[in-house]
Amino acid sequence: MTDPLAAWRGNPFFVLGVSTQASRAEVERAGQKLLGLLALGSASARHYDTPFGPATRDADSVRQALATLRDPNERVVHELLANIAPGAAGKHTDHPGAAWKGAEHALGWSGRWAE
Amino acid sequence: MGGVGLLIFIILFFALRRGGASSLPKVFWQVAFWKFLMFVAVLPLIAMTGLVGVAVLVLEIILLLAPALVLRWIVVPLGVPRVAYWGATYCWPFEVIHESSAGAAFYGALALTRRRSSRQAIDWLEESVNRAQPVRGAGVVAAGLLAALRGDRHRARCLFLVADGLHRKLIPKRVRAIARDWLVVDAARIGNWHEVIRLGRRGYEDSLRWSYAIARIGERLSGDPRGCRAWRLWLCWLVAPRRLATFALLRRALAVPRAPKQAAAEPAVAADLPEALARLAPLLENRYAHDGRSFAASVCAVDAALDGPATRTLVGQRLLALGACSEKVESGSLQDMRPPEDATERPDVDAVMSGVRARLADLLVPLIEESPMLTSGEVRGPILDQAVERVRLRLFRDIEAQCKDYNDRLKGETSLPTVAEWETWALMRDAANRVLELDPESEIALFHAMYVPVCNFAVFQHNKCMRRTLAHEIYSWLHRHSQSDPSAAQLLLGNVRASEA
Repeated sequence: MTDPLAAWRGNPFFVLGVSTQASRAEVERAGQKLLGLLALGSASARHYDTPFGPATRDADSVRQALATLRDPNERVVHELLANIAPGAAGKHTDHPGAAWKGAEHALGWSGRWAE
Repeated sequence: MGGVGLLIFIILFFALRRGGASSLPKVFWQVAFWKFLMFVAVLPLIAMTGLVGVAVLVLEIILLLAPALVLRWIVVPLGVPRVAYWGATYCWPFEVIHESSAGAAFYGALALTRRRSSRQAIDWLEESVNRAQPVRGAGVVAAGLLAALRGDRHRARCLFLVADGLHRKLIPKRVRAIARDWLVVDAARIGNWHEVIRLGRRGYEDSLRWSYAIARIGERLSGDPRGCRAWRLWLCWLVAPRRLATFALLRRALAVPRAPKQAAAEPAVAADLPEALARLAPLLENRYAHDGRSFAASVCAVDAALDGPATRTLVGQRLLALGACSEKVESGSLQDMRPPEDATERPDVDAVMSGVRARLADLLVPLIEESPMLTSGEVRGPILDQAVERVRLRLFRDIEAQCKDYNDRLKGETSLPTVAEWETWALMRDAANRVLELDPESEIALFHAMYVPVCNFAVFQHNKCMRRTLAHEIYSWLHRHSQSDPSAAQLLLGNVRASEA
């Protein structure tokens, strides 16, 4: 199945890389700057960090994030969802019940396993 | 020669009884007769060709007496589907004696999993299953393997679940093991140990060695209180096949201490929303490591934090700061702007709260669709309820659409190819089972929505299309859920018996 946190990673505040306390002007400035960098093909502008690990952005996602944050109600919804206490990522990696990688080889499958 | 003939007969007899047959079918006597004739036909070769003749005879005896062993140990591991298919067609393995054509496709599909599969080979085998008559457990498992090879995991899973649930007369034990092992591996490879345990631990009668051993390993890995002692885990591993492939997993399980017998502790209540969200996020990423109870508790903690006065005050303040309500307040004058402490009562605050809940429900919906077990906690809370309701409605719409399709096809007396018809039923059955898992109280409504169209369609499959196993499976499922309607239960029981014949 797809990444369960993909939608959360797409929070407008994470996409624009601004704080939840940023003013409207700061949000617009950050968005325009990112759009400019993406138009120039900047590789570093494509990637951003979230509390759940890195993600990628494009011009469309930046425009969508700007549009979302212009609506005060939507902005507060995303403020709440972006305001996460530290330590939300990486807790699962060393869990003993983690996935059994390559389990299909136990059955002798060498062909493609269903994805 | 008479002794060898008797030996062939005895081996055939016991192989068939082991495969789940309660009485010897007509086909058994035909196969026994033809195998004996083939044996006699090759006997003159010994006299004519000496040592070479003896070698041919030995080879023939092995093929006649144990074709399944040759297919499983030599042909399937070599990954030659056509050889496996034709070998099974002409050597009549006893375990698929009731459905020789579909059984041959089963061996072909099994061989195909051992190499990089091609679209042509998959299509060819699927065509073989479609042509086969009758199609029973081996045919369903072959269809599942082909769906998996096509990359359609959901369809494969649904077909294997149907095969795993078939009556023991309709599917040999070894064929069922293929279906169950696939399901177990599919759950284990994403870390869904609760599903592995559910599939593997079926009690003394229904458990199979490998899936049982993996389930016991899974208990230790997931911290299940039923986890067994180390010596017992070693014993399960020793008794099960594929020991080399599972040794690393066994060692991983042995490194995990046994969980105490008492119930797992409830997760600590989060103090505020950021903390509750920080606890929920890793749970979503690693959702299978937790049971439904702890999953529901974490979602409820977010609900509680959202309802807390601190969050509501914060939202009210932010809405004021952003000027969200000035346009919506009737007069728009400064007097209507309430102070922050009253801001929690404004409708905008509720709209924001429901917006947050809707977004979190969006995150939960795909997880619940994949694993309804996550909702098994006693208390759900508004976010989980919303997500469950969305999944339930979508599944119910799918079921209704399928019922309508059955009705339409019944009126036109049209039927899909065998594999497609099994797939359709498997998908519908899976959707219905998920609805029941999400909301057990909807059993009566679900049964009445499905009963008439599905039962009529099963009768059509039984009488006109001669697909008795499919009809039997449909009748059986409906009968299991017909307790609210005694007359329907009576009718379905009669149909189940009629389709067993």
